[in-house]
Amino acid sequence: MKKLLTLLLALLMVVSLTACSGGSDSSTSGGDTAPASDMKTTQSLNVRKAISYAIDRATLATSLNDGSIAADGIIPHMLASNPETGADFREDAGVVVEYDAAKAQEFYAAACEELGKDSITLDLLYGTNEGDSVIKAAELIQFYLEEAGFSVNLVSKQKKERLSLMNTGDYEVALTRWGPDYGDPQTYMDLFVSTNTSNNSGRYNSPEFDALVADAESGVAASQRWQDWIDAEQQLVVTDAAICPVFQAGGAMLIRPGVTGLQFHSASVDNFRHVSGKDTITLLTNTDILSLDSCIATDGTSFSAQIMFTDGLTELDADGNPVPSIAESWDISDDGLTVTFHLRNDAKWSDGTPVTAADFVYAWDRIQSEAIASEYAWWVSDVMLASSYEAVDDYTLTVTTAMPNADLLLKAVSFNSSLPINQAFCEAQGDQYATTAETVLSNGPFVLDSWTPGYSYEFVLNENYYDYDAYVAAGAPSKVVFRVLEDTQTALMEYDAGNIDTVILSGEQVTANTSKEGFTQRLQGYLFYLSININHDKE
Amino acid sequence: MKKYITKRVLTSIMTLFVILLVLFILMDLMPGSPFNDEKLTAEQLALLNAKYGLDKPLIVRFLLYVKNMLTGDLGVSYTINKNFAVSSMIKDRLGISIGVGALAMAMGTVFGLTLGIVSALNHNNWVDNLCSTISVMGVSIPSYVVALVLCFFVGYKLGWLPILYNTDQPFVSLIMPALALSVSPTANIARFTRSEMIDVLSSDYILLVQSKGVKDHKMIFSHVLRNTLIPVITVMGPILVNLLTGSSVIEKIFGIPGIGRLMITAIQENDYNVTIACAFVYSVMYIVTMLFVDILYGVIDPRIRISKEEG
Amino acid sequence: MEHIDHEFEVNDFEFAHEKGEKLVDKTYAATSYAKDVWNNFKKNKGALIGTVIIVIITFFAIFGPGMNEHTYKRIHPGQECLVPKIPYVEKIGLFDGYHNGVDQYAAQGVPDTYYWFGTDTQGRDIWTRVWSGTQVSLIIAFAAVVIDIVIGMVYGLVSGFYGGKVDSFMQRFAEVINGVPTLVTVTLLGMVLPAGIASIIFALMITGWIGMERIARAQVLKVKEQEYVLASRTLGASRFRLIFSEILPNILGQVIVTSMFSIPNAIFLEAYLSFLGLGVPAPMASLGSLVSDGYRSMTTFPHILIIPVLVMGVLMLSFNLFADGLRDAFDPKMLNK
Repeated sequence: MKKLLTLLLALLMVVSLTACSGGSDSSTSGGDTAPASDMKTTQSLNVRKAISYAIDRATLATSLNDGSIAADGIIPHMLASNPETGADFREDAGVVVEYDAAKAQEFYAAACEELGKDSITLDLLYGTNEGDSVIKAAELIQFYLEEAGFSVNLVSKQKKERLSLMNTGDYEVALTRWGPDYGDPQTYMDLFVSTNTSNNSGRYNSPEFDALVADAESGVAASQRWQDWIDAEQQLVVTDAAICPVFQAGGAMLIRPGVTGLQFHSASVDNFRHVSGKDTITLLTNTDILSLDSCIATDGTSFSAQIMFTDGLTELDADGNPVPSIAESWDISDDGLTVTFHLRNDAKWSDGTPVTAADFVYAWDRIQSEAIASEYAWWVSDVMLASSYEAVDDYTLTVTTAMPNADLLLKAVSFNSSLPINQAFCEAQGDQYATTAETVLSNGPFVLDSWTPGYSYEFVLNENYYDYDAYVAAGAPSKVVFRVLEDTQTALMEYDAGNIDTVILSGEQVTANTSKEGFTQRLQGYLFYLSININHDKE
Repeated sequence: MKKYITKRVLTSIMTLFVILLVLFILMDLMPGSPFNDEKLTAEQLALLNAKYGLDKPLIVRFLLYVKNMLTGDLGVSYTINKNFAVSSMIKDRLGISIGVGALAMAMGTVFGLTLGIVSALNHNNWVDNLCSTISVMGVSIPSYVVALVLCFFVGYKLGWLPILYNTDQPFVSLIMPALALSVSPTANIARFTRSEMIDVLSSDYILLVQSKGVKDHKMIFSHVLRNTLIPVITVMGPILVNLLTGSSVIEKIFGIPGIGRLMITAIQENDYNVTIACAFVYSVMYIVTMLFVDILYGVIDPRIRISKEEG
Repeated sequence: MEHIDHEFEVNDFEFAHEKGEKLVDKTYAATSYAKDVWNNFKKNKGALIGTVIIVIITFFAIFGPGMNEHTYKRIHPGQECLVPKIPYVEKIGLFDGYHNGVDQYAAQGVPDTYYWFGTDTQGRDIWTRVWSGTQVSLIIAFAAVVIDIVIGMVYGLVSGFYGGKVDSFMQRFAEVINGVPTLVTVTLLGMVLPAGIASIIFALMITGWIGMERIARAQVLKVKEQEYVLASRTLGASRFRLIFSEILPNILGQVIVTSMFSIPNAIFLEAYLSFLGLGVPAPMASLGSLVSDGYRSMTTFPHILIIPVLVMGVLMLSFNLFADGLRDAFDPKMLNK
């Protein structure tokens, strides 16, 4: 008992130490003069504008050297295109944030006057285990803000803690990111409506912005919706400067000459099922699968692995357009509210049972069930907008939406949260469903052959796949291996030695490898922005 | 002796129990939650916490954990391999870490003893200085730099050994990681052996043996070495435990799916069950090794046994 | 037994040497313990070299960052990864800012700037970063070790001196702390505490004192049964007096030696934390963080790695040589053999 008490005492010391220092961290000192009001620094529009003008996004992105580009607004490049002209959102919306050191200093001076301070200190929160580019970017942002006149304290935390600090409003400015779930500006705009308490960490509250988002989501014509998004971005980023977009993540890699067919989607899941060029292809992944269960997974690596061996209703082609997969064809009702999918009757699970409409219904029920507590539980209702769905017969599936949503729906059903699950098999496995290669079924072009956590996972071509012949004709490999390697240095050596066929390059490695054959730069969907805590009082 | 061993085993079990509790409290102090991904709402967070029983008070969770542990159930992973049994995760990875660790320990012991003995026999001449410098250099550069340099020259430039861990040739591909790992134990063992041996060489009983005219090499191996090794074994215990439970840095560099990397990932991902299990594996190995060393010491050296029994 | 009746005559014994000279004991001037140690230490060349290098590195750690116009945190966008360029030395073709046959400085439009150790991937001056990093590492190491000594020594002294139940309880407590993997405690503390030098010192201290405690306790156990302690005890000395004035001075040597060995350990552990992203907060640098940053550029811009590794390696080597020398000096047996 004595031992226990002593221990508790020691722990108590640690806790109190943290509490004390935590408290002093969050207080913003502001020179000698007393502030004119008890207004929060970040509530000043001048402060927020100064931040936005201070950052030289183009130079910052170049310094990261990994193919990242400056953010021109909160909506990334290559996310969505104009439903009428096909132009990218950024072409239509233009560059809405710019670097102007002189203006930044003007706004800073105005902010000092407004707040009655001689100088303004900002705490910048960022994650230390979210990639080298985040650490570098945070240091560069500090540099640019200090050029404008601010003094900046860097607050470095592990990702999990950063998120929890943001959730409880215990931060001032935070470098965070959002990866789109689907190719529509809605995936970003929804983050900042005043009713979204999970993602709107800064508690931005603008009736004008809310009205624009509500209008866009009320089933108005496509062109009106498009304009609403452009106006909403203007309101959020320029008029209110409520957040500060910084950069859109890039990715640099080497792909062995001859290996083709790797599809990278900035607005959706990377699709590697069409890879070809060798009999056994070994791809590098820097993170392991977190879950094989399409209802539970939340990360890109798991998603990409799942679509290697699972077919959904549709599949996205290289340009991101939905093409038939399990659904051979589909009809859209005249009012645009009901989509009827006609399923192919020759698709089979790897245990021999056919893939039917019931498998989709089961999966969609499952992801919304409390027992699974999926982080994507809202997918069916909020993105597909499905008010009801029904298996008319084994090979016919209807989805009814609250408002016309066919374009988005056809893309949405290609995503992992909409993938089918075989009910009998899943229930037989119980809690252990999809925890190993043996406890998951495949119905796609590849079968998950083995998964050695932390080392590799391997797929072999599925001979019973309905489209097997076409895959063979296209030169599909008999085996695709994903090798898990975290260290970029040794991974590059392994690539140069010829043991793996792709390698992801860190910013430091790019310059020396740009001239190599197979050097590829891609743009990712992740947009990094500064979340500014405007109204969120510490909980 | 029996009484002493029983007492020692019992206290060890108690210590382990307290360590487990400490681990639980530490997990509770950890900022963040395993589930607070960007896309999770507050309601879902509550659901997940309820699902995995994380909404229960600490002491209830602890007792449940202890109860389940006795049946071999270490819970499931929350983030790293969602819903997968932690016991299976540990089982798969511990084997590999023990493999690398044992190999590194073997190398470290052979190199360390050799360097130490050669040093001591040539005390204060250039051979001693050379050996000492070599062993000191081993602890002068971080192991991840040594590992990277090895990978680059031996693996990549010369191609003598596979650069990374490979399940097709597990032994050959583990030589380099083990070598990188053995650098620091080599230095420690060499240094300790040297000073112990110098001590023994200058002790009265060796002088006696010497004066009796026993031939040098025979004397060294039958008397000096034996008396040097006893204290060396005691420092080797903790080193061994550290090696067997995996080095996250070496595992990361060589792409080895070991337990060290798993533990660091688990800490960073707030995967409580995996962290506790990995840490507890270490604790068990540590306490058992200490117990073993203590008992062994008692067997070898009766003076200690007696003083401990009295104490 | 037969009785031998024998009487010694005057001439029965004579001097062995014909001249009958007498042997006189040589007398040496009395020397203090400290002086003995110093004399022994002086004889050890390695230890002397180590000491000199430590002094030199410490000098640069204090004054190095002020020797040029750069600061450790100033980022220079566009001047990333420049190789070293040193005035005068550049004329002989060494450290002239050329990389792959191109004058990097001219290419970046700063032909008249000198970065003596080059710049890192953010365009910061490595010279100032290395020396201010050394400063940070030395501060961390010294602070951690001083705290280790105080806690560990007191703990070990008390535990060893009192023995019995107190000892048993204190040892179990130490065992619990040691039984939790260092990495778990240190990583967790790194996460719980706000990032900063103080937190790292605290994290290192939590587990660091155990080693010292063991040594101190073992020494006390060895010393406490010796005659002089027994004598002091019988004369009625208080426990406090026994511990601090009789036992402490006799184990001090061993303790100092151990603490010298734990300085490199502390620097190493900090380097390890940096590799895991739990080191000193950016943009501050430590030797560990510089090495782990440089690690990523090893195959492309090796100077970013090699410079801090060299400084760290030499510093480690010196501390080890110094500690080795000190140990030998405290323990004359090691010298005379």
